[in-house]
Order: sequence, then C-alpha cells, then structure tokens
Amino acid sequence: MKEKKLKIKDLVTIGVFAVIYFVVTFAVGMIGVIPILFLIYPTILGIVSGTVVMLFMAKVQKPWALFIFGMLSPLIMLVGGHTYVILLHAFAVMIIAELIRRIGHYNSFKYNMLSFAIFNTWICGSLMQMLWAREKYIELSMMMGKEYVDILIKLITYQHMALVYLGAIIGGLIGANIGRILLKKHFIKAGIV
Amino acid sequence: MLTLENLSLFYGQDKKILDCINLNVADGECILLTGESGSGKSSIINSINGLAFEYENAKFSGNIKVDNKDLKGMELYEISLMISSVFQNPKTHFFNVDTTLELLFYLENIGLDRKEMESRMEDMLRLFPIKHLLGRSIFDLSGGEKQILCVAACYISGCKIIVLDEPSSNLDDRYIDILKEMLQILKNKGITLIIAEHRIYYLTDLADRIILVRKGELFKELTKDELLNSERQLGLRSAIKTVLKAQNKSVGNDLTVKKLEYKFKDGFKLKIEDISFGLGNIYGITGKNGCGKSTFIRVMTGLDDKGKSEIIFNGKTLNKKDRLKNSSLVMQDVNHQLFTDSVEEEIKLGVKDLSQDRLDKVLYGLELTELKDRHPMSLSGGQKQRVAIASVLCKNSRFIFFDEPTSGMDYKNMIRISKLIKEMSTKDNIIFIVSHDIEFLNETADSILCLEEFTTPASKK
Amino acid sequence: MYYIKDNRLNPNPITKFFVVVLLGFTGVHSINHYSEWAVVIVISAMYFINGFKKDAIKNILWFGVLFFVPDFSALEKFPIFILMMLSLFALCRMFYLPFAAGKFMIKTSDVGSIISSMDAIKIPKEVSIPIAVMFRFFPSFVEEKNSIKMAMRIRGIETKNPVKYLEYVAVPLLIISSNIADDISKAAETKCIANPIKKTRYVSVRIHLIDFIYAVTISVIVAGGIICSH
Repeated sequence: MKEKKLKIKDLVTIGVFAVIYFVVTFAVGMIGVIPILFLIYPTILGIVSGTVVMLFMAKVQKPWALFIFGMLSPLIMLVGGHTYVILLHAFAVMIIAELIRRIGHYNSFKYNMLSFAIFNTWICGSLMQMLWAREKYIELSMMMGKEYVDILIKLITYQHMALVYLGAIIGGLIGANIGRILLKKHFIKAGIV
Repeated sequence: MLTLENLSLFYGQDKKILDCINLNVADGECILLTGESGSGKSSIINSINGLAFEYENAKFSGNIKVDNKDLKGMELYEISLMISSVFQNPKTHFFNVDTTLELLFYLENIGLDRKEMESRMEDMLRLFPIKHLLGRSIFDLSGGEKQILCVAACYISGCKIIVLDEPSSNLDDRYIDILKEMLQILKNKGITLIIAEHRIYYLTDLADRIILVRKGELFKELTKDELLNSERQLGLRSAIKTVLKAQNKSVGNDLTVKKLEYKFKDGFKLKIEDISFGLGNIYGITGKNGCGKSTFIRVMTGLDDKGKSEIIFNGKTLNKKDRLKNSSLVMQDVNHQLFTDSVEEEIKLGVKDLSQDRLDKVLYGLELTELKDRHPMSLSGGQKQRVAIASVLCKNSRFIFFDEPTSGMDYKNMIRISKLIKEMSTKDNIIFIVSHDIEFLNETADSILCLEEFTTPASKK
Repeated sequence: MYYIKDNRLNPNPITKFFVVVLLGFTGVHSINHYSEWAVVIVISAMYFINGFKKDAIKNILWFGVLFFVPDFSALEKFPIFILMMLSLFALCRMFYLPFAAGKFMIKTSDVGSIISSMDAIKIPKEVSIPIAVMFRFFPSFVEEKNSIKMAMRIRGIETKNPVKYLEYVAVPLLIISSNIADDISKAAETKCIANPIKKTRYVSVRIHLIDFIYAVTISVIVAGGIICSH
C-alpha cells in the first residue's frame, strides 16, 4: 500500500501540470471574447487539453492525484473572480472522475479516457454560474435592449446546458485519444512515462 | 565517517553502472571524484544522497553507511538530515521563488524556531558575504549566483557531509573562484566534502584525495603531480587555470555591426558600434555572466530586436527577417529545439530541398546513422546536441551561433565539439560561439570578442 | 528581518481569501449599487495604505468604466453582433468585485505568507505542496515556452496546420516540464520536505487589526447590500 500514497514527487508533478493545464484553459478561454463561442468552449478545451491530462494520468497513477489536480484550476478561477459555484461544481465532477479512474485501477486507458471526459465538464461550471445567476445577468444586459435580452433568455436554458455538457464529454473523448496518440508517438519513446 | 562497502549500482536488470565501490571518507575530508562523463562519478554522488534509487529506479547492492548507520531503506528526508546536496544545474533545483525562503526552507522542515533560524542565518552571512542575494527572486539571479546560494543553503542546514555533483559546469571563471573560496571555508569548518567534477583546476589545492573513476570503478588514487601531468590522457579538463590566449582582433569585414544597442531593465546598456566579422572565421564571444551575451545572440539572429541595430552584410543592410533567415542557433539547452519524433525527421524539419544523400552524409559525419529512428528526446545530452548541430548543418546558414555548447562537458567531448565546429566552418559562413569555457575557446576560436568592453553599467539617477 | 516584511497594514492571505469568497456571492446575488461602490473603494483604500497607489486608482477607474458605459441608451440600436461583444462587458461587470479582491490578494501577498497561511489553517500537504509548486513553476513555464518559440522561429518552422503547430510546442514543453518537475522535487526532498515532524515557518501569519477591519467592513457591506436590494 505504501507505493500508492502520493509522494513528494507526485505532489510536485501535480503542481507543475496544474500550471500547464491552467495556462491551456486560459488560452483556450480567449475564444470566449465572442460570447457565443462560450458554448463550445468546453468541447475545444477537451480536445486541446487532453494530451496534458492524459500525460499527467500516465505519470501519476495513484489515488486522489487527479482529484487534487482537478481542483487547482477552479481554485485559481475562484481567486480570479469566479464564484463559489465553480468550486462546488468542480468538486462534484472531480469526485466522479476520480471514482471512474479507481474502477480502472488508475492505469487503464479506457477508464482514464472516460474519467477525463467527465473531468472535462468542470469548466461547464463557469456557464452554470451564469445560469444560476440568470436574473442578475439579464438585469445587467437590459441596457443592451430588449431584443438582445430575449435572445439571451432563449439561449441560457437547462436544455442548452445539457448540450454543452455533452459537447464537453465528446471533446474530452477526442482529446483523450489525441493524447493517447501523442503519448505513443513521443512521450513513451522519449522515456518520460 | 562515510563508508561505501562493495557498492554496486544497476539500472534495470543488468546495466551495471557502479561496480564494487569501496571508499572510506573521514570526517572533514575533501574527496574529489574525477573521470570522464559516464564514468560513474555522478552515480556515486547520487547513491550517497539516495536520489539514484528514488528517481532513476536504480538498484544497489552493498552498503552505504554514515557513522555506521546504514542508509539502506531510509527515506530521502532521513538521508538529507545528514547529507546535503549541490546539483550540476542550479537553474531548476530550487523549491522556493524567494531566495531567503529557499535558504531557510531546510530549517523550516526540520522544525527550528525563528530565533534559531536567524542565528544560523547570521552565522552563514558572517562566513559568506551574500547579503545582496537575500530577498530576491531566483529568476533574477545569474547561474553563478544561484550556485552560490545552493552552497550557502548546504552550510545553513548544518549537515556534516555535503556532496556536490559537477558544481562548476555552468559557472564562469569568476564564479568558479568564488565557489572555490566557499568550499575552502566549508572545509575549514570541518565539513566533509565529496565532489564529482571533471573541471579540476580549482580543486587541486583543496582536495585531500583525488580519485579517478573509470567504467564504474574507483580506478586509481592520483597524486597532485600525476594529475598535473596527465589530465589529458585521463580525459580531464586542464588541471591549471587556463588563460585566454591573445587573439588577433577580428579580421575581415563581410559582416559589419554598425550599431547595436540594447537597454536592460535595470538600466544597464549594451552598445556595440562598428565591429566587423569576416567570412570563414570562428568568433568567440565572452564576458562575465549577465553582460548581454544571450542578448547579443538574440539581436544578431533577429529573434529580438527593438529596431535600434544596423547590421550590414556585403554592403546590404540586413533587417530582422533577413537575419532570421540566414542564421542558425544551437541553444544551450538543446531540449528546446527538438520537435519531432525521430532524429531523421528532426534534421529534415524546416529545411527545404534536402537530398537524402546529403542527409545521410551529415548523419554519418556526426555518428548519428544508427540513431536516426530514435526519438531525439530519448538520447543523451551529447547526442541531442549533435542532432541539433546536424540540423544546423543541413540548413546551411550564413551565420551560425552556438550558445554555451560545452557546459558540463569533459575534455573528450569538448575536443569533439571543437573539432565539429571547426569542420563546419567554410568560407561562406561565420560562426559565433558564446561561451565562458576558455579552454574550449582557445581550442576553437579564431578571434575573441569580449562583450564586457561594450557595456555601460546602470547610470545612477 | 531578512528582507521579509511583516506589514501591519497588509491583511494576511487567509483574510484576503475569505473576502474573495465572500464577494463571490455578489457574482450570483445582486447587491445594491452603493454597496458595490463601497466595496470598490474599500479595496482601493487597502491598495493605497499598502503603497500600491497606481492599483488603487486603476481599480476605481475600471469599475467606473464598467459601471457607466452600458448605460448609454443608444446601445439598443447596435447590431446584435456588436451587442454580443458588449455583453462581455456585462460579464466583467458581474464578476468585477470578486475579481478585484482576488487581484488584491495576488498583488499584495508574497508566496511565503501564502504557504504559512496554508499551514496555519492546517491545509494538508497534499494540497499545499502543489499550490506552492505552482507559484514556483509558473515563471519557469513562461521562460521555457519563450525559449521553445524562439527555437521554432530560428529553425524556420512555419506550419499553417494548427495541430502540427501545437504538437511542436506542446511536446518539448511537456517533456521539459516533466524534467523540471523532477528537479524541483529533488531539491525539495534533499531539503527534508517529507520530514514528518511539525514544521515551523519563518514567515508567521499574524492577525492584525487590519484583518478585522478588512473582513468586517466587507461583510457588513455585502450583507447590507443584499438586504437593500431586496
């Protein structure tokens, strides 16, 4: 059992990869400048960040590593002005992702892939907080005219959110597979994992 | 007392790195382990501080004992309570960003109270005048300053044994002198020093015993005289301090730097005017740490130019883009410039119309033929560098730059790279080597440009 | 003593974090406009007494812009696409308060005190070590990324294919980062980070009067703001 505990090396790896992951999240998030693209942001994030997370999972095959790793980005976002919603949402998501990984004993590609697909939905929390704060958002947008608000109200619904989650999961699956290809092509050959 | 008894070290199943090492180190002794790269001297250091087992999956047989306590099965922190380590590359071996916190980090981890920390700090500052390094970000320090800090941190920890793995690799002459002084002070304090190093000139007076490591064995104990007379045959760097040979000033005027100006954040300035370089020559660029050598490369290659430079080649002004197109660079950390998944692909990358014939020739010339399907990142440091050189050769640039190509290299590898560079030199190109390795520059360069002459310190407001 | 300031006017990171979370509520629950201004002014005042005069002014200016600009009624006539862009404004406005508090926390806290704070509130090392590493690694990451980009430019790697481009940047970056991770943990382990005894911290986390003032004022404003807006 001793081997399964997170060692210093693993904790440092968590910190290092969390930085990389956050930078990727932030960079991809730049597409949010055009608000409508926000809806496919989770999908794109999954595709782009898959390699980072899959490499991380290959490096640290121990309980709770993914959970801690996954909670760090929401924590930064909290400090960066997001609400507690994103933290609670991520907590739920990461618990599920961690459990899926556990079923696969942390080293099965299939379960790691599924785990990442779920993991990737944490970012939907940033949209969820808009949904939960719908009234405030609409109130603030009122200045932009009734027409705009009407469109907005139509756009921000639970049905649409479900689609965003679906997109996140699909993006996650694609990203995980890209990660697998690159892992084989580069990182295993280079002796990193 | 530190004892190694029949120490053998293996990687994987059968790759034997160390073979039956027996060594007794008395308290307060200074041992220099020397030998070529790959001889196993660093592995001895990493066995003593335990990193080889934890990080490189090495297995060992035999015993390592400190004061008759067997280190086998000890956790790294337990070993580190007795033994401090200094690493080869100080760049990344810090846990904290703030220098003061890094110095105190060990003390925090062993649970000392604040008062005791302060008294240890004062004690250290009395020995080493490094107050100016405190309270700074490690990212603002030069390589030399970082290494000084590492040594100071070892002293502050109060460990009686310090192991150092090629501590001078990334230092220039000035910092090697400081390092030497610091080690002398540590020795006077009765601290046991075990140093793996192939740049030996600064240690010949300091070491009580000099042991030659060869093929994983303690081959022979050398006397100082033996060392002074035979360092070359042993594959070691010069045993006496090398001085820069007097060079003829730059000849030729194919490439002229009419004006090159660069202001640094802290106000100090690099300003070069009217200097010419000739085709077919190899120029060494020197100067102490932080005098703008890397900046010089970045401006000359067109990577970074704030538009204040005027560089003329054969009567034609080269703008940033022209320079970028005509330059190649072998970086200090070659890891940054390897992108693909095989050596062959790597060399082809970014080079237009490269014939297979030429490619094979280059591969052959650099002894890379057998490695051509390997992943570049899986190669050894020297091999990676040769891959980078191969890609430069194929690009066939007018201006070729090398940034510290020999840091951490032993004599044989240094001579090898020197030969390679000399072979690269044709009458159609100019080669620039930024380096603080004087032995290497004497061997390689036709002419030397010392950048210190062109810098003005920060003007006082 | 050794160039580590113990500033009585600078709240400790725990207090600052508490305020960030507290203001997070304002992202989803509206508070009164006057309260919003009060929060902004308190934060600016905190900047000011800590010597960050520029940030104090910037903070007020930014909020002023976000507060007043969307009020132009002319906006209604703009095409929908531009409105969408402008809705970003609304978003920034929504989350400005917690953002400002977060920025204040990052700008005025040194890493040492953040680590000490995590110890003080008994955050397990499984969380505090990764966080400490993030502060350490971020600047390295930027350096390495720039070096790789430089290498790509001089190698003349120009690819129109974004996937290829990403591969060229990502692969060396991830490999180098993995190596740096090893180096950092070696440094930490040879400095006894895994030592199970109770650790001490040179930088102590003290509670000064300012901590109470900062936390209580913001709490009162937020509570008042929520009550007034209902």
